[in-house]
Amino acid sequence: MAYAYLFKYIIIGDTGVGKSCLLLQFTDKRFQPVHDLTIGVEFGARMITIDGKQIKLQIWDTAGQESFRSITRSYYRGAAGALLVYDITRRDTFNHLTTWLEDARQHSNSNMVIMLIGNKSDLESRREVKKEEGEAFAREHGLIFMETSAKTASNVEEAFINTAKEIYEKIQEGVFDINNEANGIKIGPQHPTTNSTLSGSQGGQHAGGGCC
Amino acid sequence: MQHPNLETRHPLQADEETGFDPLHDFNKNHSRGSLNGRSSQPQSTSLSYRKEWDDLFLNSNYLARIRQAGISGRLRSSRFRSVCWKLYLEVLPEDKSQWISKTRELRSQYEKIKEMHITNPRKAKGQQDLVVNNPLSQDEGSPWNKFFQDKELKGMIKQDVLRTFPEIRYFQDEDVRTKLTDILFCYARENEQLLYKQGMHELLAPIVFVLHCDHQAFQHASETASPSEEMKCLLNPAYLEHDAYAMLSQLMETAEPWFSSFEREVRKGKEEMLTSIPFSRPQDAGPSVAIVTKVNRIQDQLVKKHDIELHMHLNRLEIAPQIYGIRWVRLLFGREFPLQDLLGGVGRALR
Repeated sequence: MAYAYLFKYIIIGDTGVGKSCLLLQFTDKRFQPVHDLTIGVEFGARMITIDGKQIKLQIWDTAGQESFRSITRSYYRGAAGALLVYDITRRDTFNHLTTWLEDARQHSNSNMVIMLIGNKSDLESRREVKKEEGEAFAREHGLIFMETSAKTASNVEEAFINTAKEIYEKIQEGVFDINNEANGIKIGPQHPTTNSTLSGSQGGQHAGGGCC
Repeated sequence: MQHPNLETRHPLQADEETGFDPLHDFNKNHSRGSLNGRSSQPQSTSLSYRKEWDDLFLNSNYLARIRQAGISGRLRSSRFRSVCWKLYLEVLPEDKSQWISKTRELRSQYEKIKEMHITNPRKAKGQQDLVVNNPLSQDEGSPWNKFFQDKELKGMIKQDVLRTFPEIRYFQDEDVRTKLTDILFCYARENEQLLYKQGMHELLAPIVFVLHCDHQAFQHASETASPSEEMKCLLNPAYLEHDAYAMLSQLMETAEPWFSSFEREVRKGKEEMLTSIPFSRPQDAGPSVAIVTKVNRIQDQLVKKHDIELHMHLNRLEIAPQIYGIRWVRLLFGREFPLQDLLGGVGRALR
């Protein structure tokens, strides 16, 4: 399928905060409470519409454990957007945000849009991090912020789409050089038909994913 | 090599993917032997159990033969697969006369390791000075300091153990989860430079499962016949945890490099990374970690050599080998097959 733009995203944050679940909810609209943990990096894609334009999101879901950090870092590069995720029921995952942010800023391009996400908002009774704390952290570091629940799908669409909107606005403002693909943005193919072989072979894993 | 029992239906051959525990069925129906209708009498079940053992291990050249059997997938329904794995991993020596003593030695080693690492500060001996030995002490040597560090490590392991083969009922059992956690915890404490890394839990799980299956078969066979001393020792269910630890430790001797995040080169500076070719392959940008070098070699050399078309396709789609390869290698292909196929595969990979 033809798209106007392709945006590359990464999802980062501590292990077990729900990165893969957010991706699955976004691409497949379902929640899997117990799943295999991510080893290395996984991949998902979905088409969205902004301002009447088809935009393809290509999302790289990274493993959270420290031991993968040196491998996943190389994915920061060439990402237009990042979802930095913590778990509102685990204070330590919030405390580690600074490290994640430093790491992301150091290895990515400076225009990368970062969305801070406090996930598991459905577990209100086990909350350890107040919403205001997330907001304050985001304000202080110039991030967009949202609380989500991959389980109930609350704010999941919004998180991915708002990030895309922000990137789209930056393109309109001329902040992003869209001819430099190192910014994580590609302009859609001029001749959509040449892409047909790819869409056929990529459709399987994420049903909502559209094509490549 | 002909093993009549290899035809026998193994509980693992039931369909795992339905989330149904095949062992349940197995326990209810009592005998693997009876399932194929070949040995419906208890007597012949026990005979065949003994015969299977003899066929596998009573041969001057047995080790080479069971290696071959493993490679060709003929151990799929064996009731002594854990014994074969122990041999592949050199947890058991080739000399059968040492099997019992070696097994006892390794088990008592684990006993000591566990006692040393899994301690309750309230019961810890030695340091009785309450200035040091109290929960609020900042002293490095305080048993409480260790206790809190341990708690963190254990929490990390436990989080992954809860996500181990979630579709298989056996791994939902609290007792099994505790065993997995304790084994990984002890391994981490014994290997401080490596600690616990995600993925180890999925190497351990098939080991534990194979031991469990063989123990079940052993217990069943023991009801009708007297097993040999070796069988009684090697297949004693009370030592599942001990044996699994020894097997994991040996397996990690091989797998360790794929868990290491040691970077061999100084990372490239930000400038260089940003000015390099747009959308250049991520595999070329990162630092040189053993596993990345390995998966690059798989794609750039092995895949290219054996399937040039696939190699070109991957390159065209800009699919970095990390995406599939890290999981392949770190888990020794553990996630790429259903568990019952995997058990055959791991056996093959070990040799």
